[in-house]
Amino acid sequence: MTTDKCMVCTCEDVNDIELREAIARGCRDLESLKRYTGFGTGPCQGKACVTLARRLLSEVTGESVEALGAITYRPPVQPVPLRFLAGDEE
Amino acid sequence: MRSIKYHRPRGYSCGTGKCASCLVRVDGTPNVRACVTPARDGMVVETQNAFPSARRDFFAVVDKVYRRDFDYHEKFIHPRVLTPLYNAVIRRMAGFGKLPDLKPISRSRVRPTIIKREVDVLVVGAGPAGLAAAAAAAEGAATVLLAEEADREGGSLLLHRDVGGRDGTLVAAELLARVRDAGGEVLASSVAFGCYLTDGVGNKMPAPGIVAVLTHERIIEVKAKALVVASGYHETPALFPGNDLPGVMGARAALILLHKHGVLAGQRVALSAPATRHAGEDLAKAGADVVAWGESPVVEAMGGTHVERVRLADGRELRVDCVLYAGDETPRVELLQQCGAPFVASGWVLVPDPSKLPPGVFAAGDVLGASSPLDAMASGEAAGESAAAFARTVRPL
Amino acid sequence: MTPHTPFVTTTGPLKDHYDAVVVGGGANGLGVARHLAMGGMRDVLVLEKSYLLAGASGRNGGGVRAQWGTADNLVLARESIRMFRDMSAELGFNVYFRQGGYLFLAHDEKTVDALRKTVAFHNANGVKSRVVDAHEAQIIVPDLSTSGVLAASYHPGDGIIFPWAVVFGLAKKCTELGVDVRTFTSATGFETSGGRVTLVRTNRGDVKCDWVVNAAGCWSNQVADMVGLKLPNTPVRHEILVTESLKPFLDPMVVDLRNGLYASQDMRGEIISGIGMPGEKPGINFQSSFAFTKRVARALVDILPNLGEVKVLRQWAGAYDVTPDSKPILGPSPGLANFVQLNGASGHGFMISPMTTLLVAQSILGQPPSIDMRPYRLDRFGPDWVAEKEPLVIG
Repeated sequence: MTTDKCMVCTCEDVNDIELREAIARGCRDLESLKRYTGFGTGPCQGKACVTLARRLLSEVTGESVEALGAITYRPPVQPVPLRFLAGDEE
Repeated sequence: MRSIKYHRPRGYSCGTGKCASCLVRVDGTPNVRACVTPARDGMVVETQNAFPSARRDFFAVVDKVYRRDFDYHEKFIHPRVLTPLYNAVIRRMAGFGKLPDLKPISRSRVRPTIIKREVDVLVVGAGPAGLAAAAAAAEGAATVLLAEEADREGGSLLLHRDVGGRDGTLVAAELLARVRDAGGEVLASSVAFGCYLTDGVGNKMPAPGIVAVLTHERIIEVKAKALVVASGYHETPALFPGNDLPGVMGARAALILLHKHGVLAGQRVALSAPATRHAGEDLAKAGADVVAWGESPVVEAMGGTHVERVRLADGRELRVDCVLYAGDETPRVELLQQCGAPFVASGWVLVPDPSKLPPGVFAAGDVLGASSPLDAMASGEAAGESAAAFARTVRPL
Repeated sequence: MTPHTPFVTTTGPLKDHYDAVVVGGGANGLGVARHLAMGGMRDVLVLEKSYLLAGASGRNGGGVRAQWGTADNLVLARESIRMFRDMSAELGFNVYFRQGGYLFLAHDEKTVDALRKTVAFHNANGVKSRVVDAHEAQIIVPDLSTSGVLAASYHPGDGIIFPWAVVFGLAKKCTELGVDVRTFTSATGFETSGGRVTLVRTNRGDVKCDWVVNAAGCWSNQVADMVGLKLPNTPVRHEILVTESLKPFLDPMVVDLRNGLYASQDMRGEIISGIGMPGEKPGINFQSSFAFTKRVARALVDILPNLGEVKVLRQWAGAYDVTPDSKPILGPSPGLANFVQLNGASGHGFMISPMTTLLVAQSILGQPPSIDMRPYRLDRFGPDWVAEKEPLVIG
């Protein structure tokens, strides 16, 4: 009986099996794992899914959470419509 | 709505406008987060990424065909003559919302502006920690700007009926009054979206740099002598098959639905962890039937377009329409990371190291690790005092 | 279920000796390693100091164009486009190359004149670009605001690629070919003897080598400094941003020649856009500025007004590795015949990497180069050098 998917990144539809396969291919750090699978590259930019992905990475590679670190949170940390960024400067 | 790759059904999930499970097209604007967008008479709301409807999406076949995984890296290569066709189909499938209508139906006739402000202390987040920090800083004679991204101040206080014996909303109102009485400025629906530590030609600035805040129809570039980040946490999803089904959500998301919006997340609720007990109790008081109290974790959620059943670790299968999870909350450290704050591990998450924050940068409340509203208030009070004291030592900007 | 080929070597010590050590694991480093391995070299080592895609190869917007203003850049780009078309099949990895064209917008007569001349130059050099009027520009990009647009140059063969896929695909192919691709492994120094590099010191031990390729992008100066070589390259930050995903509506990359703005829609539907910041100081700086955000947003909404309600998801930055003439540096170094440069591509390294990596590999393997490599030599910057600066640099 096949079970349903365990979604890790719901923004980009990346599940735990896809992460494990990417790790097996050599994505043994968060940044490569993110770039290969696309986790954390969607609308939320990896806010909560990074915890799940890092836990998985830690369990597979044996690296500690601290050593694995975080992905880079660039601005804007919430999506901002272009028209506000194009606003008139006072 | 339906998800991007697998076209899985999605619905209300985080409740804070952070994830991408409730994106709809509103008045011609795509990718709007329904969970934080107040409904208005006459609003036109359309589903996205589903044909012919979210309930019956033809493309859900992708989820059934690719039962295990879908790796787009080694597909659609052969035969090469089909490359333009592949590209056209993939672009169509991979795109999410449609380009906004050129004349969106918008009530706002105000042209957006960008202004600059200088303050002693900028506090990000008006939950218990942020409110306490802003109050302490303002009472410490600092000029204070408090930015809260939700449309109401209070944060977790709004979700607790017992904070030191009193209703959390009353505690929030009192703290808010203290901030205002001491001359602090409070902006709701205002999100600090970035700490910029370089200028447009590459000159570096010390943290917190320029903090850009998006508020009503304008952006404020804030130059603050001190920044207090009291941004709280993101609920981390639990990992079990079917964890993304509509009706499966974090405990806090269910509390937001109940206490902020007066909506019950479900009638038959399964709790997946003891940490969700508070939410379970409040939902039960509101009339829901809690069929599992977290004594055995959920190992699978099942259903069509909504959760209908769960299987627990002890083997029981229960009929439900709502599943709550909690645990491993992820601190919202984005702004702190931009300021160069280092992190330490705390279980499976990273938290800021409060002793190693750059000068002028302070953190308080759940962003340092999940705590109670009272603890968050104490943490905020201390941070606000320190921030005001620091601001006094800084030369005029 | 067959396991997929790994991208990189993750276990085991480095060998004592490699035929070639490539410093840098981006499109250039992996590209030249692949050609060397295909040319029969048995022991090739790629040293990537960070994770794959940490450098410019992971930071660029994926633009691939043949519309250049100098023959030396044009021929590299034109041939690279040909090679990109075959790349997915050759690598067994989809690089998602989409030839939707590039549209350069001109808003004043002087620019239109320059465009006409450039298009004539393209046509004389095997690139079928053409000048279109505002009306046709509108047909090519229906959402374009043509207010003020006098004309545009358009080459339908230009396109957009998925840079991350190129690097992963090259890494996979390299690993299949027996190349030792190491991440988090960096060159820390070199030993030379008799005008040749004999040894590379790395953070994982020393390796002897017959050849070294400096494919370190914006860090090429630092690598060259390790052998006492001065490169005329200057790293300069360039910022970029990406929006949320939308269904396809923009086919070409659009460039506004008034300000160097570029904007395109990638395969995921996101708009990727950047613009130059006047007065940007040289240096390696990957941080974002708010000044950039305002400048690019204003320029974008000016030419694509529908984008006003579209949300920015992320902004980041990379560094162009800029030479005095905005042309790459390819080939051996004076005084060090086996220290080979593969850098200085001044912001278009990714799009010319298929050709530049082939040329450098050919020169190392002793094969006749596909095109004359003399214009790209490091020693071109001698006293007789006459600057022919590339006019069509954007971003």
